[in-house]
Amino acid sequence: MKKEEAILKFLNGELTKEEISKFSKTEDFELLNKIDKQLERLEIPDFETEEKLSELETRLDGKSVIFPVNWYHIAASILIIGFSFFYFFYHPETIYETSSAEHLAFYLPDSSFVKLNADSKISFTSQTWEENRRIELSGEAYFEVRKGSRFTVESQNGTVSVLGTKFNINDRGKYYFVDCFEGKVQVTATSFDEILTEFQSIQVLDKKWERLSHKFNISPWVNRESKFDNMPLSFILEEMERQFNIIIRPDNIDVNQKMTLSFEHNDIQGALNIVAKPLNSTFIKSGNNTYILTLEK
Amino acid sequence: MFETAQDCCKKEVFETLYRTLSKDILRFLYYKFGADNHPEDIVQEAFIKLWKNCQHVLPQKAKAFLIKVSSNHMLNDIEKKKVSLNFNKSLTVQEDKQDPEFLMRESEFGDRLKKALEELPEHQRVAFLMNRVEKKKHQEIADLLGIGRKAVEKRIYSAVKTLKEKLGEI
Repeated sequence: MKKEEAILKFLNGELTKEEISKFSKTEDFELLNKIDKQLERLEIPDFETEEKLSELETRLDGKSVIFPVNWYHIAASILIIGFSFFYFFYHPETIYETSSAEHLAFYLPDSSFVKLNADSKISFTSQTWEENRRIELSGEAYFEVRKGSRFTVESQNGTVSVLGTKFNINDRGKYYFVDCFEGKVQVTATSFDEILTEFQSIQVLDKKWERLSHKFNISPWVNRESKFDNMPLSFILEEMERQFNIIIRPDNIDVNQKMTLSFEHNDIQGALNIVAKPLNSTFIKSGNNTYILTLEK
Repeated sequence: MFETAQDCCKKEVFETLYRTLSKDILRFLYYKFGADNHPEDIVQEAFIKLWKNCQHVLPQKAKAFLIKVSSNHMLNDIEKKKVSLNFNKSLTVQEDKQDPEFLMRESEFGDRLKKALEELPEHQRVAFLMNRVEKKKHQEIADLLGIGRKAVEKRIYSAVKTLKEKLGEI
């Protein structure tokens, strides 16, 4: 065996008994042994893992404060104790909210995915999330739920519960739509209790509910496009207001007539044209973000 | 479609990674940069980077990520101090060997070893100390550093050769 090979095998603990007894007679062995002995004195810097971890987490929460004087230490301890009581006995709600022309994508504590449409709000309690996957929603959101315990979304008009699937809820008070894209969802409201599977929807409009089918794999709005199939004009205009952060005032136009169209969220002019054309009408800009929809003269 | 690499972003996963990897990273940084360059702080910075990039780093790749970002930490740092390793003053020797001359020779050897280690190239010192202090196998070191086993052995052997030259005539 070559010298280099012997040294490396010795350092890696690979030498056989015979090889060791042979190697132990060499100068190399003597030197390495001496080095090993000295290295027992090598001091690794102090590192209290748990202490360092909580220090890091404080920094990540952006709440790191350096207290220079001892007096503050006492104040800080009192605060920390106070907060721990607060933390254990009070479960604050986590809230995600969007305003007009704003979408927000985020993960829930179980890594279920949520995308929140414009002018919508979601709240839940993250401390008790694992036992109680319950969300309150107002407005519209698309969900991709991780498999697990029952997952419930409550909104003004009804409750949707699932065990792991993809679906969209749009609850704007006057309207309540639930679309299922994968798996099964149960929709419960005062007037019905229905189960939807993929490509099925439920629509509540003017207090009447009906089951419909759709052909989407994901809510179109998630990819920044709004699609309407035989929907009242008032509903379409409201959605435009939300997506483009504008105000629309219909003038001598029947907002209850139903239309089928779609528009993209990055093209306000295109959207205005798509709506105005078939109505023989036009949008007149009045003020910063206000448009008047009126019949063409 | 959205259910991909976001696991490092989960608090439990991140905490487990911290508990299992922080000391390894600390030792690595200590061997590499020495005690005077604040290895504990670099560990924290590395984990902050991991948290910020949690969506792009799979948990099984976290170790390599941490080693990489923390190695790069000192690259542009003009404040970089000389590598210094700390040795405990007290020698642990057997009772029957406590004659003064022996102790003196041992402590002199210790000083020379400390100096020789500090003068080794960074990557040789890291590989050699991981092997001798922590008794890590060559393959483990290779996995940790993200290099081949042959490269690790080359580094260790080069370190041994240099130490032999500097400490040879005992």
